[in-house]
Amino acid sequence: MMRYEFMLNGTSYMVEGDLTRRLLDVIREDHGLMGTKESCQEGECGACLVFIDDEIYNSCLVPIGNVIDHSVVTIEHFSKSTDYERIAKAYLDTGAVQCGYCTPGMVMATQALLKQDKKFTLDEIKLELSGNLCRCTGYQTIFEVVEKLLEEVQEDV
Amino acid sequence: MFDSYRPATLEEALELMGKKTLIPLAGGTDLMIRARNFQGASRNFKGDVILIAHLNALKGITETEEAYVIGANVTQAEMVASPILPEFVRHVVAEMATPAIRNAATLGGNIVNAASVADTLPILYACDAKLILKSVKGERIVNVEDFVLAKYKTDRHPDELLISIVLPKFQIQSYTYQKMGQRKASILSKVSFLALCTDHDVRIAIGALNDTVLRSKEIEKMIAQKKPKTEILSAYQALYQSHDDKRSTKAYKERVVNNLIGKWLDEKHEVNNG
Repeated sequence: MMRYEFMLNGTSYMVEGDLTRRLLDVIREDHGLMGTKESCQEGECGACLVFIDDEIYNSCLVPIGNVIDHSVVTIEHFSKSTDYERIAKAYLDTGAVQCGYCTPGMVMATQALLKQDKKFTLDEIKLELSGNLCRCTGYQTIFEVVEKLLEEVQEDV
Repeated sequence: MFDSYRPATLEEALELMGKKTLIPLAGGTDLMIRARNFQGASRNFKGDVILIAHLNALKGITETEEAYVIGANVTQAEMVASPILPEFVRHVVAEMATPAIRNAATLGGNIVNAASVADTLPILYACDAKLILKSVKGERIVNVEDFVLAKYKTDRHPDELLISIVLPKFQIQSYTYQKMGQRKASILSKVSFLALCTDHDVRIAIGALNDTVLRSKEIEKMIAQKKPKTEILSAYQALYQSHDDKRSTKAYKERVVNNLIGKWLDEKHEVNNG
């Protein structure tokens, strides 16, 4: 029998049994990591975003067999980074968090945008965040966060 | 309950598929939704599943003198970022889904899934793409329009995997792509319209209207011969086999397609006169 493993937040774990289990269920049920949210269950809302090899994926659609030999990072692990601290501060300062349910996914999508290290117009920011639904904020404050972070990056340079 | 397999190589995968009927699962962005079930419960697959997204033999984009060859496992994100693929291909794919979905969704999945709203299919129809399928018995090459039989129905034999997609190269002079949906991003098409002007012909592929992509080489010839707009539109109208669905009505979709073709003809005519 093949021995399958995947990395979750820097630690290696075995993958056993049904390879079509959702990564989301493994994260929440097996590992008790509740920062990755479940909402639409069909890849529309982005509440379940995780990084797989540093790219964003909807964990509600990823069969666990697809992350074998790959590295998964959830919001809990990402929250220990300086990138996270910058993003979190901007969300708080701008008042871009209301109920907070979409926020972990929104933060992951924000990081995916920032790490591309280029300029974005407002329309392009909207496209980059198009896979994340928020029912509270009306999005304007979230777009402000991203614009603010992009300006900061440019000032740094 | 069903079994799930993850063969290490393409050869092992094909051998397994030669022995029993399996559901190939790549990026999961369609099939995981169709197999939906309660939170935490096992997915609702109607048969045994074979994971293929990790198979290297199905990855990568290459080109020859005559064609682009895209592995079935190439993701939409990889297509958009490709320095090799022509702009119109990248443009169409960039308007599909969302960044996170494009990271997972594969070209092969979009084709074999064969949804009537699959936005990559109009590209393949317009390019006269060929599909390479493999089984333990050997390889066969099929034209895309012969492969897609109906909505969610293809000519893939149970023991076959789609390996790669061959897009013949040609000189593009201009292209137009219009995707109509309820919002600008993260949306399935109500209808889509792709027109390519090459150095020797025009090609028009209309997606999401009929159950399969609408392309008519006869009408394309009429366009090249500069037949009147009314004649061209009524020739297209005769080929519409649309119906009301949850995204739109037959009347709306057909009217939008007529408008898109009409507008494109008007603009093309201006260019010709200019």
